[in-house]
Amino acid sequence: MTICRKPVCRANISSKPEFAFTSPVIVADTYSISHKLIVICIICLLVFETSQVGAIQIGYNLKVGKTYKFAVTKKIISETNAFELKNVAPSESKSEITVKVLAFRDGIWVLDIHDGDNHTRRYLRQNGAIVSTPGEFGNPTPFVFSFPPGDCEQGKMYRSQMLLQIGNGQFPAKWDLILTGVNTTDKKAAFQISGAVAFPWDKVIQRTLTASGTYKFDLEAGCPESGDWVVSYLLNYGLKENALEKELWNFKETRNISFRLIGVEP
Amino acid sequence: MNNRKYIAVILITLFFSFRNYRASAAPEGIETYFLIWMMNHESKVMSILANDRKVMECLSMPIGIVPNPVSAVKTSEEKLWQINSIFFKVLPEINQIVELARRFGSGRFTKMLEKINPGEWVTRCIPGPGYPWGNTMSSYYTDSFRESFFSLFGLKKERDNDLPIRLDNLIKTISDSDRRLLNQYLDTFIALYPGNKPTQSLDNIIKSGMKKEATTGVASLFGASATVNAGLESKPGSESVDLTTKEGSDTATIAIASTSINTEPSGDTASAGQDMFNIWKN
Repeated sequence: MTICRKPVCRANISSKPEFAFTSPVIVADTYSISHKLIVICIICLLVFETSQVGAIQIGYNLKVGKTYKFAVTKKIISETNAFELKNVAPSESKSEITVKVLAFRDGIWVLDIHDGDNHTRRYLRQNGAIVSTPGEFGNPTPFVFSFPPGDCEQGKMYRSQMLLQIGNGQFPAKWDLILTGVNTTDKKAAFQISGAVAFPWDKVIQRTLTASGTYKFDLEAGCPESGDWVVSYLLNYGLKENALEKELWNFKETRNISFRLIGVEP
Repeated sequence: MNNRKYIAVILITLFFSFRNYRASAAPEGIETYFLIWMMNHESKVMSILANDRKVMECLSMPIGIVPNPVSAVKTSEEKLWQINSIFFKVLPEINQIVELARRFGSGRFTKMLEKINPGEWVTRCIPGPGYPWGNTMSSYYTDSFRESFFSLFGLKKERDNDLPIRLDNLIKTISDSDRRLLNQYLDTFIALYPGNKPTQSLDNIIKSGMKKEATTGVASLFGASATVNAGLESKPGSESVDLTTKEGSDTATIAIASTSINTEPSGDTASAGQDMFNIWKN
């Protein structure tokens, strides 16, 4: 028994006669493999591109001589409770902060900052950490988060910690920073931020202070673009005597803070 | 003879002045423990809050290039400060009323004051021809003595003639919601320190007021009515008077009497062997 293969039958499929004797399945596989290679190559390119987006180096890149203007809005709701007494005091403030970049040396920017009539100066590293705050108004120890050295990976949490010294107390504080996405078209990096301060905690005096929100960094301008976060504080003040516990006062404060880069002037 | 009278008047005046000095120098009243407790805890919580606000400020702006703007924050605890300051003003005045009632409420002092009649003593020294004139002046001197006496003890006729009404008016200066808060503070204090009798009597007075008959002695000081004195003579030796209308008035009376003597809080607070005002012990 001989098997006769008719070349004519395959003529329509392939112009080359030697391929005419190969199985139609094999021909189809060959076609599939080449297609797959292309798809794999595209995927590889995409993965490569994605990996480039997923881990990027983020840092300040301010231009010396330029002035950056920020608008800051603070909405504060303070609440006091004592038994039936409940008093709520809302307040809102808007301010425009002008930051002039005076100099840059050894990876540190010298910033001249104006907030209305208040004037101060800050020395800032490329990762956002503060080196010095001569003439700082408000608080003696501003606690800010800094970008990690090297590439910042998407979804990974980066923590900045500090021991705040207020009055006679020392309070460990932290800021957690998570890169949630990078928009390659307008070159913006989005972060999720959350902060907390560890207060002493006992049965009668309980305090919590937390913060959470979002933050956007302009990769092209090399400076923060916007941010919105909420700082929540709670103080329960009670009394304990002779195994009897009584709650006396309760204080809450919520601060909705947002800032926007409103312009960069030469 | 005349010199002896002068000396007697001076000695009596000095005696009462010394009593008044002692009473004013003694810091303990029915409100003292509660007020010190309140002030201590208020100062503690406010200092915690002020410190924590600084921490809040530190956490408010985590961006290195943007400092935290300086802005005036409206604080809700301001209201609490205001209400508590009302209590800190009113409660010592309540104690002052209670002290007046305790000191003069029995009427014995009024009776003694009438017996002294210093105007007559002074005018007796006037010789024979001038005696009618001296007799006229007697009542003037007596009235003058009484006025001086009232001013020495800080008594005002218009204000102290009716102590229950003065107390009611004083308590009415506190709004209903603030009074509820005060009652809740007092209930909390009494729950924590059930053996503190002065605060219990303060609580009773605020909630139930004072009995009219407990303060008639003070009214008689100004009116000098003999009928009041006659009624009060039926209670010999009663220095302290029933000031409250509640069942626990006896304890309240005892507590009021004891506050000027005993500086230690009574009952459970003392037995606990701890300083109840040492709020920073933790």
